[in-house]
Amino acid sequence: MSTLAVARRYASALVELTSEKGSMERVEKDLDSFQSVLASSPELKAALVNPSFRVEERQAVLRAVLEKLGVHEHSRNFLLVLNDRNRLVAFDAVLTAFGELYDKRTGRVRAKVTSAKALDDASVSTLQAHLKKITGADEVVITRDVDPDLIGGIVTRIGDLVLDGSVRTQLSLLRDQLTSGAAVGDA
Amino acid sequence: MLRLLALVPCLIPALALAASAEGEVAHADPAGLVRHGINLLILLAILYFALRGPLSDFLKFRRTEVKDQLDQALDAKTTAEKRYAELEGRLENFEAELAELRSRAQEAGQAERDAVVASASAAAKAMEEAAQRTVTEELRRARAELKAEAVDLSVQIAEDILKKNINEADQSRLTGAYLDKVEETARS
Repeated sequence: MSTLAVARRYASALVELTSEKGSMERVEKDLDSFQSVLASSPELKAALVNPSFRVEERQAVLRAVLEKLGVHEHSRNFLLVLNDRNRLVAFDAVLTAFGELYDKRTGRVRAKVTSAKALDDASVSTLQAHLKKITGADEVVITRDVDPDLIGGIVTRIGDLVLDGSVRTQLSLLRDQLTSGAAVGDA
Repeated sequence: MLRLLALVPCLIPALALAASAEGEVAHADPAGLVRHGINLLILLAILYFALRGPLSDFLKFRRTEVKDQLDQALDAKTTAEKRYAELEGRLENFEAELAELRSRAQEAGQAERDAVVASASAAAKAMEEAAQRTVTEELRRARAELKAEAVDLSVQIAEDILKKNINEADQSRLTGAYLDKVEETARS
């Protein structure tokens, strides 16, 4: 079975459980925190997914980390199950699948907003409100990013939808128009 | 031939008589002369009767042969005369034929020259057209490349200027414009 299929299976089970128990939001935050920890500590991640360590050894480390993070019981149990079944290697895919299922269940969409300069909160709130109207979602979760190469303006991505208002793209369009115009003139 | 053999016994007495008379010639006997004359006449008569048929046949055959030879000679003469006349005629027309041959040769040469010139002209024209097309295409491509380079350079300069000069106010304005655009999209 592929990693994606496995991840979806585990994520689906987690969504069912947390939805039933009303702990979905909390679990999502816990899993995000755990992912941040793994991202900040490659050694820890390598140890947790290394099959040369025994399951009990990895479990002890995992318990210690989760204890420090103070995660919800459901989050802890889920991660321990992943470890017991040597599936922590697919944790990122599980988290992504969980987020998608969570979004679908709660009518939430995720938007990635990239700007040349950091956006103020008021602008983000305004954008969030507009995006809610555009997508018809109950909630729009915005992830902010700054990319100076945009020169100016903003680019918003929601799934396949891209709202590009960057200066870089405007310049690129200008280049295309001038080039095609030159080509037409030559023809 | 049988007639000749039949005459032999008749000739024997005449010959014998002629032979017996030889010894008497020396005496110049007139009667002997008469006998000899008679013998001679008999001999001639015998010879006439014996040889009349074959000689006639021979003469007829000879006449026919001579006539055929004469006819053949006449035909040969006629043919020779015709040939002579033909050759004479050809000789008389030789200059005209020569002039005609010369004229034909000149015409053929001219036609061949025209064909070669036409072919060379067509090839030259085709080459010229191909060269012209190549030049036009190269020119078009060079222009396009130049324009593309000019466009790239212009956009790059514009980008550098924007990066250098864009300020907070511009960013705020761009953000406001973007939000207006998104709002417009949300309304539509």
